[in-house]
Parts: sequence; structure tokens; C-alpha cells
Amino acid sequence: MGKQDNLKNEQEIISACIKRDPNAQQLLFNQYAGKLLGVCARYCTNLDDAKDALHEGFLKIFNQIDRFKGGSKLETWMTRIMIYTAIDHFKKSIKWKPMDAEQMSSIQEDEAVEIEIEEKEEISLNQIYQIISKLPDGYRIIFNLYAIEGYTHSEIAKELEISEGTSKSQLARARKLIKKMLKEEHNIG
Amino acid sequence: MAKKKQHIDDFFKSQLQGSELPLDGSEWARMSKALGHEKKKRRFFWWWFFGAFVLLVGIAGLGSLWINNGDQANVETTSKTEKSQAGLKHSSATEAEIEARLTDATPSKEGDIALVEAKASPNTAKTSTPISNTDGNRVYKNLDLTTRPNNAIVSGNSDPIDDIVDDNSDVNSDLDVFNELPGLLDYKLVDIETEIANPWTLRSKIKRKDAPQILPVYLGFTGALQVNQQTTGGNNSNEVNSINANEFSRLTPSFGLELKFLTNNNWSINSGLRYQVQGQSLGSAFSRNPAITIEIYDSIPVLNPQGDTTDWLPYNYRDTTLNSNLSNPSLNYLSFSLGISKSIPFGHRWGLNVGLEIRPKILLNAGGTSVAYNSIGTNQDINQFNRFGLSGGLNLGVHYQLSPNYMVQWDVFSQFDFNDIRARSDIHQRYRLYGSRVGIYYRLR
Repeated sequence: MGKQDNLKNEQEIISACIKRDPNAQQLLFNQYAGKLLGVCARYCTNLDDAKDALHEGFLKIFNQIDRFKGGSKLETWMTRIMIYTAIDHFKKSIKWKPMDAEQMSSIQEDEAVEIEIEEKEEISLNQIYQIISKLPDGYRIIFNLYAIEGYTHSEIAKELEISEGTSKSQLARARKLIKKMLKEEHNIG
Repeated sequence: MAKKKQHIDDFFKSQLQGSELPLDGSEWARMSKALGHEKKKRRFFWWWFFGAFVLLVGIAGLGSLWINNGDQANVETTSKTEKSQAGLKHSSATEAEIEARLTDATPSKEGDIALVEAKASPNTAKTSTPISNTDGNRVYKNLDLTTRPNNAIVSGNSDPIDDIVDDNSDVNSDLDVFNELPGLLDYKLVDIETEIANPWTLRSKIKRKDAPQILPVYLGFTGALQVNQQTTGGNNSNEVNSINANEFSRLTPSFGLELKFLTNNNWSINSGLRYQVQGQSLGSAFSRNPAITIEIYDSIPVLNPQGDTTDWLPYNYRDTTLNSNLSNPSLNYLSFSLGISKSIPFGHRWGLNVGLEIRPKILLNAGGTSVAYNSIGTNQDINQFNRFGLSGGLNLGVHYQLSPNYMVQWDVFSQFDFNDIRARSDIHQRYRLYGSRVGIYYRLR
């Protein structure tokens, strides 16, 4: 029986990872890398950047896994680290400029955007990722944090060092742009 | 097909949550390399350790011999020059005069050579009172040619006169008085105790053809205190800037043994072992407002759960036994040193030292003071650090000869790491050390 067979449950994998067991680290990586790459891809503009963020994020995970206390699911904890990493990766790759007051004055927060969609609409996962990646950086990150991850505008504002108003207006613009792309490119909405 | 209204957020959430993207095997290979798995497979760790030590000591010894050989050539040249400068010819000192003086000279124990007061001519040269010699190789006083200098003149001849008179009866062993004396007369009799005290000064004054070149070797115990400043960190060298580095600076000790191989031209080659503590102080990070209390990632920008800011720390250790952050994380190294230094004597006992050294080092363990329990531990997983390192630097100081056999040396030094502390390829942390070192040295030969 191989060593990997002994690492049956998640807790055993975590314990072995804390001891820096390469087999356990590989198991954990293989188990979650695909999902976490999906997380990174939502925040990055291309797959290469997403892979870099994934790499950086997993290094953090392996080095900090002894701090995982089990208060949440391991996947949730890892996803959170991956999101922070992807955002930091994004911050490093561009000069993050919070919008100034003049720009803000011209923006009005829209109402929630709804779309009409058939129950089995023809849109693939790749097309979803393409739409996300085409969003401007600020729109993409705020839309992901708010709509997918469930952050509040207050939390987003603190993370991105912007005002809550900016977060709200960027989200509104993102929704409108997504709806427009869905309509024009996929005839949805 | 019927259409239903769905919020755009919900639509994307349902599509994206739990989605996966395919990965190829190269991603794990890259990750494995970054985690340093290959390094863990290194074997023969201690062989490397001892091999490096033996090599460095060997280099130091051979280097001192090499320098000394070069110096012997200089001695010979100097001796010839001195002879010509003395302006004395063989005819100015007759064999009878030499023998007369030899009769007056008080025989000393075997091993004495002579230092003679400089006089205008050999006829007025006088000898001074013999003193006991410390080892027969270093301190020579009195024109005591009735005995054969210990090791100084190779001879199997038991007749001292035969050694003195250049009669060619024993070519290899004769002390060529007529050639040697003018050179010897050129030395001044100085305060012999002072001369004894400073081996560099003494050796520069006594330059005797055929004299054995015994290299003084000192063994010293040294202790030092050093300021640890981290120069770089994070994903690139800009991510821990100089402000961060100074904020986390910390004073750490080190101590060790050192061999000092002296040469005739005021150079010495030094080699030694040193136990060296390096580390940071994270106390200021914990006392910040808002305090960083929970999430301290090592050199990773962190969204603090308290929501204050993204922050960088040089690195953070966690005591794996106490499960606590360490406020004074430490890396404990055993380092070898190989260096060369130049002594510039001033006075008879003092000298100024200027030196260069390289210092390969090996990480023994890592630990520090626990924040929560205020205890010392060495439970940090050292696999996250590079086991081998190389640093080098400069030192400047003074030495004082306490006695013929003891010397103290004090210097200030600066050292720089040439490679990263961390094993991870994405974190580039290095140290810059500034310190002061004191050592007491005992002469082995």
C-alpha cells in the first residue's frame, strides 16, 4: 500500500501537510487546484496570470496551513487565501487608482439588473469566463467579490482601499456591461 | 422553452461556483520545486559540513605557507641589501677580533642568536646580557655565536667554532660570520620585552638568512554582537524596504573559535568556526495600533482580518509545539570563515587590522521567543529555510599584544548575505549584519 493511500481523509492530509509531507501536499494540490484555478481565473485577465496566482496562493497555503483551525471548511479557507492572492497579484500588475470625487459625481448606482434566461440556455463555462475576463479590472474584481463571493461593499472598500460608493458604482457598471455582452454576443437577456 | 427571470448575480454565481479549470502536470512540478522538495533529498549533509571545514582550514594553512615562501625570498634579498648598506668588508673584522669577542660573550643556552647594538664598526660592538629564550625560534638576543642556534643553523657538527669560522669544512653548517655579522650589526638593540610582545614587529626586524621561518599560529576565542538588518523580502527586493528592515532590526550574539596564521609580511590568514544567531524582532509589529495579532504571514501581503491594511513582515515563525507566533524569530547558524587580514603595527604592542572574509554557513535550527508564552523554542520547521548560506564582509579593528603568547583583538565588521534565507523561490530575504567582535588569542607556536 502506497503512502498516499494512507492519507484518506482531509484531516490526515492537513496534518501531513503541516509536517511538509510532499505526498500530502501533492494530494491537496491535485484535489483543489482545478477549483482554485477557476477562482483565480475570475480575477485575472488571462490564464497565465491565473496560474501564477494559483502558484503563489498554494505556496501561502502550504506555508500557513498550520493556522487552519477548522472553523470553516478547508476549501473555503483556501479559496479565501486564493482570492486575496489573486487581488494582490492584480494590484502588483497594475497601478491601482481609486476613482476620484469628480469621476464619482457622474456615476449613479443602478438598480439591480435582472436578465431573462431560458432554463437550459446555451452558454458554456468558457464563455462565462470570457465575459468576466473582458470586464475592466475594477469591474471584474468588484463584481466577483460582491456577486460570487458574497462580500459586502464595506468589506470590498477596505480591501481595495476605495470608498463604498465607488464599490457600488463599479458593481452597477459591471452588471450593465455584462448584460450588454450577454445580449450582443450570446443573445441572452 | 419558457424563460424565467434571474438576477445576473445569481446567474453567474450558479455558473461559476464550484467550477474547475483543467491543469496539466507541469503545475505540480513547478510547485514542488518552489516548495523545495528536491532539497530535502540532499544527503551527506554532515560530510559536506566537515569537508568544508577541513577544506577551509587547509586553504588557510597552505595560503600562509605560500605567503611565507614568498616572504623568505624577500628576507634573503633584504639580508644582502643590509650587508651592502653596512659598508663593512670582511677585512674590517679579523678572525682574531671575532674570536676575542666570542670569548667575552657569555654562553647562553642553545637556541640563542644575537641582536647587537648598532655601532659604527664591529670593533665597538658589544653584547648585552643574555636572556632566557622563550622557544629558541622567535627571540634572539646577544651575539652569542659560541652556541649553535636552535634550528637556525643546520649542522651536525658539534664544534661551535667550526660553525662560526667560514672554513668551508662544513659548508652547509657554517655560520658565515663575515657575511652575517654586518647584517646582524645593522639591527638595533631595542627594548627586548617590547619586541617580544609584538610578533609582527619582531619578525619584521629579525631577518636572518637561513633562519627557520616558523609561522606563528594563534587560536582565539571570539564573541560578537551584531545588528541584524534585513535587506530584502517578499516577492521582489522592493517589498520590504529599508524602513521595514530597520523596524525589525535586532541585536544578536555570536561566538566561536578562530585560527590565525601569521606571516612575515604582516598578513595573516584566518579560519574558524562560529555559532551565529540571526533574527528579527517583531515586537514592534505586535505593538502596532491596530495590532497585527492573528494573521501574520511570512513576507506575504495580508488582508488582515481586522481589516486594517495589507502589511508586510520580514518573516514570521510559528512555534510548532506551542502553536504561537514568535516575537523574536531566530535562525541559528554554524559558520566557517576564511579570511585574510593585514596588520599595520603602531607602537610595539599595537596594530591596526583590516580584513576580508567569506563565511559559508549552515543552518542548525530555528526558533525564537514565543509571543504568547514568552519562552524560547527551537521548534520551527527549518525546511522552509535554506540550509546552506554564504556571507562575506569586511572588518576593521586593532589588536594589542598582552604578552608573548596572548593577544587581544577588537574589531567592527559588516557582513552581507550572498544568497536568500528562505527556501522558497518567491521570497528573497537576506541579512546585512553590523557588529563588533572581541577575541582573545593564544599563541600555539
